Amino acid sequence: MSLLATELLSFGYQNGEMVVRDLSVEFPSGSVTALTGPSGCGKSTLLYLLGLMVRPVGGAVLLDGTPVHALPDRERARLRAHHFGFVFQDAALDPTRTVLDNVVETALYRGQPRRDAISAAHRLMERFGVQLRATHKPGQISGGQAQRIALCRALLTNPRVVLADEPTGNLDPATSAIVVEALREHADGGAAVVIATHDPALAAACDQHIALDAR
Amino acid sequence: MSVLGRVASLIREAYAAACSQPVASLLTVVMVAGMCAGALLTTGRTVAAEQAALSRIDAAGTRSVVVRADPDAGLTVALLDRLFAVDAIEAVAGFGPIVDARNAAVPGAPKVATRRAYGTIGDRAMVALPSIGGTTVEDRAFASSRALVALGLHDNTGDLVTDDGRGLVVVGELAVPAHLAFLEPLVVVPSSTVEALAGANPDDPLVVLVVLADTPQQVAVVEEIVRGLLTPTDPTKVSIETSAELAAIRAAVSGELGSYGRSLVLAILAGAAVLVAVNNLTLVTLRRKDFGRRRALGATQSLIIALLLSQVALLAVLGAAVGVVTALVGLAGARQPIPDVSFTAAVAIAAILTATLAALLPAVIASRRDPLHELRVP
Repeated sequence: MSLLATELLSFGYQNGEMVVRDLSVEFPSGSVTALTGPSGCGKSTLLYLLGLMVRPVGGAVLLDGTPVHALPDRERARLRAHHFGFVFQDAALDPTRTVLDNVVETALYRGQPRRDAISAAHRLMERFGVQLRATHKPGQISGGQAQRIALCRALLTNPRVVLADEPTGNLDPATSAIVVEALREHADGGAAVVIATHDPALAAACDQHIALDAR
Repeated sequence: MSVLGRVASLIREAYAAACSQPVASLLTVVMVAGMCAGALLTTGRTVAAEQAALSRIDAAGTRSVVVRADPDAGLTVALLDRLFAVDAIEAVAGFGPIVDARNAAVPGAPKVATRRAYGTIGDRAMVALPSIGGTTVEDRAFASSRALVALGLHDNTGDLVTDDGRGLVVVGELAVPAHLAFLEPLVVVPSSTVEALAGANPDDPLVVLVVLADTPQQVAVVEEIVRGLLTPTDPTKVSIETSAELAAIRAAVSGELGSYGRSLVLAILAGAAVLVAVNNLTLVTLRRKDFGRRRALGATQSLIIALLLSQVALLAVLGAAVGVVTALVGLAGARQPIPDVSFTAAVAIAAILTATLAALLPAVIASRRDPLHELRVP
């Protein structure tokens, strides 16, 4: 039984345009999966579906073999807070808060004491070389640093599933390597990592490769 | 984490969010401060003037019914217990016939009227004091400050001798409430018992009966009740004075100003609520990506609503404090009447609740932000 899976998963917008159609795929524990395909093919949408942020129009998302796509909103939010880590395409940091605040943001949603979250955050920021930016605002750091901070936020809870949307899209090769290595290490710890990417090299380095077609 | 810990985390995050959005936060503070100051500078001043007017009216005995009778009119102390059982009556005080007395230690000293007293005078029950030493229950008296001065009893105690040759011992000072001021200078011999206001001798005559209604509005009703219970042998020897006209004036003052004040406060609160709601709608619109991110990372809708409402409530508390202080300083500086604590607190609480409630719709909108729509990069 895979940690995360889809069964005949379909999603379309209100205008009737189908983005994902009858997709059945498994994301085993300990694996890194690459989602590739041209822009607009539904890579990001599939990540949001896997992350329980939107409900599919058909099929199912399974976590530990249990359908979770149709759970009440509160339950899906709880699963996201406790079991999922997200790295968004543009880092999606809060520009009005410090880097440290951004990294520990999810502690509030999980009900984790902030003190504990801060300790873990400092360890992660040190690992990714951004510890000196803890008190800076996102506007005062580079794009590569922002993406590493987004990675710290995603890994703070040691999530079982990490969903990363083009995590190396705007990064230099050295920083990209740090990010990919971190995701690989996290998968080696037993998590399922799913990466949407345009980077053929990154896709080739993954355990599994799902190519989505243009609509 | 405990519930208390979660609440503390929520408030901490609300505070941090408020600090990170200084312009919107400042606007909310200013709006709530304006709401409070506006209410206090207009209605608050009116209410303070009303309270001062009502206080002056009340001091004149708005709630009292005074019955005067000749000693042989048939009015007895037995009436007191029947009156005290009536719901609309707060207190009764009865006084027996006057016996003049003077300081026993000063021959030729001025005389002061003494009376048997029943019921309650101010906070003091007119229960006869227990016998001590050689004195009897009927020997002990209390004197008002004016009486003490007139009698020359500078230590608030001393011996008196009455015109009929009886001795009295003044054992303390009696505070005389405003509605009994017409009896001054007053020396009373408490004569009720714990069991009955009428004391041991229910047939003792009363010459003055003062009945205090619960509210000014009940004076007319109480007057009717008193009239119904009076059974004088000779009605021409009994007279009743009421404060019904004062009560009517009081009701008119209270009603007119109260109605005007309520309307004005409601208008101010409604106006400010609209401004707070618009401010927060703007904030939610400008920061829709922020709320979309929070939802994506696991914030429930109820948490986002609680977060935004807490944020506005914190700012509203600050705004209310600023508004109240500003208004009170302004009123004091202009030597205008200052509303009492309860009205000021009510305005502040109403302002905080109104502002928080006004943020509910924006909070609900924020909680429904769709991460897919807000976070996707074209």
